[in-house]
Amino acid sequence: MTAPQRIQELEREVQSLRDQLELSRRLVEKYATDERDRFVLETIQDGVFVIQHGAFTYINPALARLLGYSVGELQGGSYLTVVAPKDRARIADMYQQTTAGRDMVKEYELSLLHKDQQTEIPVITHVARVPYQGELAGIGTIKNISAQKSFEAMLSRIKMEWMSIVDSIPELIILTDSTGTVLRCNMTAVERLNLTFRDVIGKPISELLFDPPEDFAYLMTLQGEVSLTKFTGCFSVASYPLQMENLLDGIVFVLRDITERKRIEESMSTTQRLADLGTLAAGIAHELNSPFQIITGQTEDLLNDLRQGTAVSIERLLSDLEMVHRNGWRGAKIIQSLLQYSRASTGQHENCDLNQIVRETLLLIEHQLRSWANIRVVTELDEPLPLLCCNRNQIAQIIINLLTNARDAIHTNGQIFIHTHFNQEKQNLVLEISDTGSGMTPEVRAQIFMPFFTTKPAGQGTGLGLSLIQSMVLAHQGSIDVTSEVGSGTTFTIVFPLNVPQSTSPNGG
Amino acid sequence: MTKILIADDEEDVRLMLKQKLSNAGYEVISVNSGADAVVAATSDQFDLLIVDMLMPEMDGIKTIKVLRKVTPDLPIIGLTGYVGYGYMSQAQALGVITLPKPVAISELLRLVKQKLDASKHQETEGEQK
Repeated sequence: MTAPQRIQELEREVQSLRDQLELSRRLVEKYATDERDRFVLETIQDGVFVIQHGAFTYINPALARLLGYSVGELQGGSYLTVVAPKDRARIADMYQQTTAGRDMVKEYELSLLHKDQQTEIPVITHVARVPYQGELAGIGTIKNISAQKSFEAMLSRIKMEWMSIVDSIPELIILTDSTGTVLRCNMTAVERLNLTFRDVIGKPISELLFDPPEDFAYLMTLQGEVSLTKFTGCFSVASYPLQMENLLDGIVFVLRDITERKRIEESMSTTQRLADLGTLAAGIAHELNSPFQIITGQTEDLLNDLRQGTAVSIERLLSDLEMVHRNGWRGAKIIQSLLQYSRASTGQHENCDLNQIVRETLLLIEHQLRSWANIRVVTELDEPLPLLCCNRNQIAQIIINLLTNARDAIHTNGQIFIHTHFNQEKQNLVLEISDTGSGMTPEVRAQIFMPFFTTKPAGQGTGLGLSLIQSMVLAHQGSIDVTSEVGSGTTFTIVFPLNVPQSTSPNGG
Repeated sequence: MTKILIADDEEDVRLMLKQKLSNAGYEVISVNSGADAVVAATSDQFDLLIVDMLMPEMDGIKTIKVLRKVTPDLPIIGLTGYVGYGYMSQAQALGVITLPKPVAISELLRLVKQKLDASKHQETEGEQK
């Protein structure tokens, strides 16, 4: 072998070694890639499959596991055996289209059938048509969406539950946007409006409730009892702003038909009045029978003597007749108080300035108070007060009665304070009358509002004053409170709410 | 002279009854409360008590109950303007007849006389025993 021949041979050997090395390198590289792919495919939790000619040529362990098979059991089998019967026709159709047509990745939702032939598993699949080992194949992934599906079912069930709750409650619930256009409402609203959902949604709410329609701004101010011109009866209205992460800026209106409740309340109030009447009748019996005893007793005796011709002295006639006269008036006074008492919840309401009523009333009984020279009346009237819708005469009567009581509680020297005040926050007017008189024990305080309860000597008080005041305060939907301490005085605090709906008087006028 | 005690919290009623009973020939003392009636009945000798039922603090029933213990022989007549509120039956249970106000004076005088006669009769019977 010549030297050049030897060199050529060596070069060929080197080239061959190089080729072998390159081949090894490529083999090593390929082997490593396959390993990695297999590792990935067999570890991930989503299902992966390859379908060729309608049969599985590859499935990963996760998919086999999901369906309850081993990998070997499914390999080579028809893909349709693992599709739930209800979806088979649809999926077979889609498979035909995919094999015949485009290359795009497609997404389907379907149910697969477990090996037990019972359990259906909702899944989502992404399938693409790609060349694989020299042929076209359907390659795809499968994701189990059971948890998501059952969550969706739960949400939809909860939604249905809430919808049926909202629909079944007897209140009208109407959701509007911030301009008053109806967005949604419940079944009760539709039924009471005698319209369909289609008619209600999108309409201005004020048009649905009022005829002629009221301003939406006015509607927003409504609270408590109102009468809606589109309905008969009485409603209570409440509105709440609704805000959900700035997504929805609306108002929820809740309207309750309180006609029936009002009727029951009125009949209850009649029952209460009858019960009061019973207490009153007992009191009247006691109060009136004493004057009657005196009147009948004195006249019986005089009549007997006169009939029998017995001489009756002028002195005796005078003293007996004076007693009869006095007790006749006493009876009449009781009846007058009684009439006032029964009138307490009737009369006209008008807008009045409470301070003006206080001043006028003081003028009216000034002479009475002046005769108690040791009493100083101090007024502290907050100006200006908002107007109070009230029965002027009743408020005057309340003030007179409280002043008279305060006067009687002061035995030697003392002061009576009259204070009016506007509570902006609670939207009410406060009338406070206090005295530096003798005060009351807790036992007395507990009974002062009972008809005919009096601490005054027999014949001086009818025991109706405070009971009357209470009736009149209640007729204004107000409240009366009393604090008292023996030896230091008594304070009566009356609160009149300002926004009282104008309803008819409880006893029908 | 027969002595009658009147207990009523109303001045005019006291005056009127006192006048009528005095005219009928009785000696009359009047008090304005149940407590005063008990004090008077235990410190002096009375032949009869006329007591109103509704009086502040110690009412007629309480007064009768106390007097039944301390002066069991004292005849008592009740008066009440509060008819139908249990005073009459409560007093009846204590052996006291109660007349409703207004009562005819002749009726009251008749009952007073009847009570006094019955009480005298009992006393005589007691003396005979």
